Amino acid sequence: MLASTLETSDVLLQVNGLKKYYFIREGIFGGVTGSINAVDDISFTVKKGETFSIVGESGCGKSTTGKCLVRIEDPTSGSIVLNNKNITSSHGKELLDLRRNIQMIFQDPYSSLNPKHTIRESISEPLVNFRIAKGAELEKKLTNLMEIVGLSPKYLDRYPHEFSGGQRQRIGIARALAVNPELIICDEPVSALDVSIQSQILNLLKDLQQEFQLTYIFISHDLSVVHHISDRVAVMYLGRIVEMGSKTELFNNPKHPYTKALLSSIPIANPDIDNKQDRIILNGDVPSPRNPPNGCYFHTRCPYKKEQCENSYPDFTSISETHKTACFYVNEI
Amino acid sequence: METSPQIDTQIDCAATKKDDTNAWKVFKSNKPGMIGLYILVIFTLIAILAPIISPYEPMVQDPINRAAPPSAEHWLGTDTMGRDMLSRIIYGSQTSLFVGFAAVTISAVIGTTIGLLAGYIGGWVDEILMRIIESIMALPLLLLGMMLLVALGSNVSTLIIALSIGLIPGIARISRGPTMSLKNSEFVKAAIVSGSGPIKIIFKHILPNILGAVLVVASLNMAAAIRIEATLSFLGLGVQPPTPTWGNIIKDGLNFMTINPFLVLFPGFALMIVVIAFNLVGDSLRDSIDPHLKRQRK
Amino acid sequence: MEALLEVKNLNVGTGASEDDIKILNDINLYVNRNETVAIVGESGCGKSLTALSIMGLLPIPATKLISGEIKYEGKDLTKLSEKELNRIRGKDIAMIFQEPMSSLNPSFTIGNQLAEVFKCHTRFSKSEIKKRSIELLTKVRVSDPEEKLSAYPYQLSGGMRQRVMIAMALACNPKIILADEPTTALDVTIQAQIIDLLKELQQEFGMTILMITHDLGVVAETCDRIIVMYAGEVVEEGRVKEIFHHPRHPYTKGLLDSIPIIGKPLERLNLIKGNVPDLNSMPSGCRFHPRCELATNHCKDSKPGIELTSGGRSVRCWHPH
Repeated sequence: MLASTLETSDVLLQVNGLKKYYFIREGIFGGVTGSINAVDDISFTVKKGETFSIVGESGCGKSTTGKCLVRIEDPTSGSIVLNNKNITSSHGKELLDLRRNIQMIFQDPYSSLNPKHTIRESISEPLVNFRIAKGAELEKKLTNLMEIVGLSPKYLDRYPHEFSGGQRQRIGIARALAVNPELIICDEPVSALDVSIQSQILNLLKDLQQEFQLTYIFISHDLSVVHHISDRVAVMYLGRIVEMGSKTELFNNPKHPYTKALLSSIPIANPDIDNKQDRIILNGDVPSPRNPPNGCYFHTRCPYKKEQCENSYPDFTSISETHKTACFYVNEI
Repeated sequence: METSPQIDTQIDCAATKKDDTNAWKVFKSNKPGMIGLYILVIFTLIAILAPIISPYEPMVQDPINRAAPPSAEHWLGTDTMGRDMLSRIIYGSQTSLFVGFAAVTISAVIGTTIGLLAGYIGGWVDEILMRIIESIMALPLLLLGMMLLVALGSNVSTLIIALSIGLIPGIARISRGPTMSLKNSEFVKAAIVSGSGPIKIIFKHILPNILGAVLVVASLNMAAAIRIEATLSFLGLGVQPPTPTWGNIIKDGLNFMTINPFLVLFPGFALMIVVIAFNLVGDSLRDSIDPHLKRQRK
Repeated sequence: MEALLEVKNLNVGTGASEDDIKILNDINLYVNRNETVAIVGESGCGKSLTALSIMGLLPIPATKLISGEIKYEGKDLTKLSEKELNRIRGKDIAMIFQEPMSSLNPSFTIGNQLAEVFKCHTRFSKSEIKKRSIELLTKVRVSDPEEKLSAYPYQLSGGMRQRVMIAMALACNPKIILADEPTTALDVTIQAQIIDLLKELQQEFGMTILMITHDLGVVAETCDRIIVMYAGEVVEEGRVKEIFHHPRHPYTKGLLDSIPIIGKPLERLNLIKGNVPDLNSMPSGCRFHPRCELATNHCKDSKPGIELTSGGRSVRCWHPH
């Protein structure tokens, strides 16, 4: 396990064998006829103060993982340990305490704010629910939060539709920061934003991390953004982590064929580079998580597949202390 | 937490978007809706001020002037027992509007609650509540009213109960659908993460977002309730004489319609105007709440 | 050489009068034969609306064409009747939409929908249509094309649906294709497949494409020329390499600088301050001046015209780089 190589005091979050299956019930008796394995046995560790990114294409289970961590979704099995406390099945008051420590920034700044609530109501909601502040103190806190995210406090009584996407995302960030959490799950926080606004939000997230010693789990499909913000990266495919390592290891020396393909698929904003020669274009589409292929999940699209890949799922091979990948032929590719 | 100067404070943060989705502004710009609203305000005032403005007592009979046509003395004539038609219509509006308003309010409160619970909790709660709603819907509102009135006796409270029960399904269904989709919206997820419990989520987050749709259906229901009340009273099952309602005024006049058509025309006309007014207001509300529809109509 | 498609002084507003808000202001652009041109800009800059104007599909009554010409092979499309326009639309000018799921009718099979396109513009027999449909699907690299003809859109993946959309656009051998964010809704690996396909089609058939996108990476890989739009105006135009290497308009420069690039690690990203202005409150003078670092009082007071400079480049700025 990766965790063993780390000082336990550094570890903020430890996820072990996390699974989230959605069972499909059909027929009049509602019998289980199958399952969608959205997250299928993943393990990782997040250190205090780092940014751990989870990348993958739509349907790979990265968002579901994030939702399991804040317990919007209940994991099917596995364990989530935050600050040496198992939070996998917390409920009631314990769950509230958990959410004081883990907050979330959502993808769509348009639907993540209640259109009928003013900004004041939205940001003060966690402050009131967790009994952090009220009265004059609440007011001071709100003003402070607005300033932190670069908005003027005089807009507190406006409604979300009066703001642009970037401004709304700032409001979402203020709401997540309100309870002073240790860990923030950023679920595709910039993918709905325009490029020029995206860079504002990314800079803001970086500044806030330094300012408040935040730990981020950054979920995204955009590798350039992930490269910019992360310390460590995990690549997911069909509910499983296929490769995990530090940013430099993963981007400079990708080992898994899927990671290689992902990296080479990014269109490069430089007309001089014609990367058509080296580009790996994968065949076909991501298989349905309802019936993943036998053996290695990636073998149906893998340009290097061999017979063994069709029959059994590869274990993780360690390339370095921090870099590991699930592929049989790591050293041959 | 202290504000840090190095964080993007240079960002221009003007909230530039103009508030152009104000429902009331849109409603005001809709002429038919405003006409409907004015009519309703007038009728409500008439009902409230009935004792002051009606020229006669609604029960006082003038045996000499029976079924008389409009005259200077009796502006809308008299009914078959010689009671002043205008006064009876004015007092009748009290009953009609009160019964309608009470039934619609009760059904809106209960119906919305059922819809919210069924939509939010889902599973077998939803299953059971929706089966009940469907079994109520299987009966036409009029038939349901007749059955209850015959079983429980004809009086105003039974009438209100019957109409409320009949109107609950429409409201429950209109609030259940959006609740189901709002339940999965990101702002509800954000509220959960912000520590809000289910009660807070249902009533603080979801309810305000479906209230508009409920209001539209409620105003259309008001028209339906008044119509059904009139029908039941016309059939002799609703409000019992001598208390005047538009329904039983029409019923009283029916036999003498050939002699004096005004006996039916005036109360019928009052009924028609109020029903149309509620429909106009309801349609206009729908347009102002659903901006997408509004654009198409413009 | 005459351009295949030319838009001249196009103005579109929320109404016809001067007081109404102008959404597109004085748009000029051209597309030559066998050329791929990109319209680039952020959401709300009017790039999609420009495409819709060309197709004669402006949302009515929310918007109205105030003035301007849209010339296709010398014919002014804005002057044509709906019937004449229909003969050109779909046949000579085809469109690929962003969301392949919502642009395909969910209750008809792929075969039905392809046949529909043929029926509108040709007089092929049933068997001929089927043969052509299979040919088309093969052309866009759909596996088992015969089988896919009887599939419904929901049975196909996002990438496959986008291929079908491209096949439908290609059905009548169009002279020009308008592609509105053709890869935005797709995953990276699928996007790479579609870009690859578009490039191949370009080389094979010498297609003319007008692409609308916000993704500068896609532009760099597929296009010859770029038109940059901001707040309803064209702010810069030029060949891809020139724009990427020497952006002249501060907005273009800001846009290029703000993308995070792998292999070019930066502690902080460069950014353009502020937000895209709202239609109701357009800034005076140069529309970019509140966000521009080079802005002077002159920019606030008077609006720069779009100046043609050497090498076919033009820029709308008082102080170009």
